[in-house]
Amino acid sequence: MSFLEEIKLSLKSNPNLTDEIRNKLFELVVNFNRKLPEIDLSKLNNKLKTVKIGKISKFERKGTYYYDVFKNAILFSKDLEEDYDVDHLLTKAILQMSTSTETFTGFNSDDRLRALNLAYTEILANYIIGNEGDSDLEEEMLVTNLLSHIVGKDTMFNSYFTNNGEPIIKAMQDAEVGLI
Amino acid sequence: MTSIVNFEERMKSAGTLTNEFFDSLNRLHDAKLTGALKKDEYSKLLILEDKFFANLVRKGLKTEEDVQTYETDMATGKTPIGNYPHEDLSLAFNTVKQTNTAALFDAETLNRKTEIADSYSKGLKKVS
Repeated sequence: MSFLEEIKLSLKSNPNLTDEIRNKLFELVVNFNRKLPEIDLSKLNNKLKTVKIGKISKFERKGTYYYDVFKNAILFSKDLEEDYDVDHLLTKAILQMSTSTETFTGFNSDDRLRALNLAYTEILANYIIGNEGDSDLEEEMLVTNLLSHIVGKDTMFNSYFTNNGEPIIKAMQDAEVGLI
Repeated sequence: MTSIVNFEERMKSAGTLTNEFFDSLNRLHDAKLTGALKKDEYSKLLILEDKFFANLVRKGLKTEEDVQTYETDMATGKTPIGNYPHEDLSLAFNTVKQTNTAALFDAETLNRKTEIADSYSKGLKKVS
């Protein structure tokens, strides 16, 4: 059985999702795999078996969209407007599920790289599926783009998918030392 | 902060400025979420906070062609992986030249940021 077939079965076994959501997520996973075939889908497969999708109020948490790694829940703001591209937001969720540990996603192991991690997820989602809607992370993406020139594209990518932000920190520190 | 010239002091400074940079990015992000900053102030604060950061990037540019490519990429918002068009980026970078920094920072913070910017400017002059 191919891994994508396993993904399909995992989605089918998830009682928290409607058929419409299952089909949409599968479509987006196929696209994700096509764009980044080197990424292992094991973590994502496990997460898709139990992931929930829900809404959150601005009083509980600010922002348009949030992936709760502890509860394995994709949460959209109750005030979400039509200006946002849901395919883009769900692709971010797929990225975060693919890079999730028990307590964090991507390279944000100790909250130090929190904004950078969110922005890099946004950039990757732009690459995978684009974004026909608004983004709340334009300034953060600008910085992340700049940083990638210093740290290196491969370092950013590998750090994200191996849950290790230390190479990013080290690359920045190395760039500082030689400056003065 | 005087100019750092010996190796031991340079090693001590490494990490401090990196941590400051990531901390400032997190604070910017949080301020946007809570609405503490008005939209038109985001770009100004970001560019000022990362003035040293832009100089770090310039340090890696070795030829005039590199510089021009970098300027074009930033004006069009091109990412290392793909294109992300952002028509306001060039406006944001131009805005920093006219911005009155005193309105955004208290005196102590402004002095510290000026020190950081000055120290990196020395690196910029060497590159150019």
